[in-house]
Amino acid sequence: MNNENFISEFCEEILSEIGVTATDEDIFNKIKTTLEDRVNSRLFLEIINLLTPEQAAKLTEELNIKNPEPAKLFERLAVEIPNFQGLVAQILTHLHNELISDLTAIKA
Amino acid sequence: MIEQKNGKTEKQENLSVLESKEITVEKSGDKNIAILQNKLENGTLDLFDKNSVTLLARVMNNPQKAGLLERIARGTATHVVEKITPIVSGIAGVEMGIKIGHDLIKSAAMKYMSGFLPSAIANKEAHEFIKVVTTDQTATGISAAWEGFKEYVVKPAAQLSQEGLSKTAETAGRGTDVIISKSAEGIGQVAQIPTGAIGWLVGSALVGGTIGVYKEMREASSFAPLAKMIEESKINPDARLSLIVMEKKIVEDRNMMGFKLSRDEWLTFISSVRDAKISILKEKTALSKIVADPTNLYYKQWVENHRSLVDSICDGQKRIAETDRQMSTQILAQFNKNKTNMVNEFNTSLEIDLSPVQKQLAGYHSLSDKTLRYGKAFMDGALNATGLPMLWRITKFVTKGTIKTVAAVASGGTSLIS
Repeated sequence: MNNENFISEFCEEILSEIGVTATDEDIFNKIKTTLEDRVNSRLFLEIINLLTPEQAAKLTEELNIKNPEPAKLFERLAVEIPNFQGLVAQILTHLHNELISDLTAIKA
Repeated sequence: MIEQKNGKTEKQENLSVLESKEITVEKSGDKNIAILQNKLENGTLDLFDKNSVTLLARVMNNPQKAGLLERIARGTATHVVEKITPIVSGIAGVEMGIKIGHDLIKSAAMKYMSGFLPSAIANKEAHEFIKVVTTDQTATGISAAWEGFKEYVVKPAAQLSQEGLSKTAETAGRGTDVIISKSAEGIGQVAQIPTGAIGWLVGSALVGGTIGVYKEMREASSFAPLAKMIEESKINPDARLSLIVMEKKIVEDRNMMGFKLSRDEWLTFISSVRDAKISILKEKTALSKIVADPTNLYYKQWVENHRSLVDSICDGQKRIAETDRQMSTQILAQFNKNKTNMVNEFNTSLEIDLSPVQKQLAGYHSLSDKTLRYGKAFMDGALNATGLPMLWRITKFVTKGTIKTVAAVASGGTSLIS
């Protein structure tokens, strides 16, 4: 499965949990697409936020210089975000709970 | 070992649960759903939006991060695409994955490799291939370039990754039960994952994400075919119609090309379409020389009226074109202004009223829209590279610990690896 499916599933799951189902595919997909955009945008900002200024500067440089070496970037960053997976998993959990309570409040 | 309950999958479980408390979305429109949809679409989902905007403000407050975001949002670094060496980093990732012996990471690495291999531009052949596809576009040219690309890029990379591939296939061959226990094992592994692997994951996420952005950027710059049409329309009268038809198609289905054009490209295209329309309008409304006999006063008056009418229509079109250019300049000015003023505005008015910020961020060429676009590309790359979808399932397993979630891990695990 690819990530697009993952984000999509993540949103479907949230909608399922608050009781919105795909009886009308058009409306459901419209809601889901908007939700997906928001989740994507949020995760993107969260990851940028996780970077240290130095990492951000390095990444910006990667987008600038003519001959970047991503492999070296790996090594350099290895010690800088020591629990990256855990942090992102945490972000997903928070986002999940936040969306559930938020959407439920709107629906109620 | 925990087994799937009565052989039901997660979806079946979910369905049976939902049957009892189902709230359906009907065509006529459930009022609550309509409110939800409205709030989502208009960006008035306060709490969620506020967090994102707060994050954006925090990112913008840091010069380095703001620089990165700006670089991504500007989306014009296409020349870098030709120079990056994704294959090297991808293979490094796969090898690292094999060393660590972590099946989940390895399969994520393989996904990562297969995802960008066809678009990689690591050597001469690949570069040639992309060049041919983007410029030549004849079937023969593409076919010949593809053969070279396969021979010199895909084949060696595939050989290097052979071990990873066969192990992935082996894993996929195992039963669901094994995958369940593997996932449970994974929880421990996540906690004890070696530093090298974390480095790989971080690097993969950043590089994978960056490559995703590169892909998006390259797509965004697919202006070449349109530029060709525009040039053609200036020489060949019939090509004007093709240009107008193309505009109609793009406006009707913006996914086709509309979202891929930069502001300048879009403006050039629309201006050219307008020029083509004016040109056709003038041509179609031109009077024959016999009718426009200058000695006949009645006809002379009529011709003048007609000409002034046509001219005013054409002038109107020109004024619209001018307005477009002015608007474009204003948008650009606002975009630059964002760099300094937006940060201050966030600091002072975040808690009070977000609407000016939202308004400022609205629109196709705004920072938020680009963030969304490139954010999606970034997350696609980052999540694919690290295999985080699986980690999310594992996290859920830890948090909830229900049989249902294990079923989710099982079904998700199968689809991830297969």
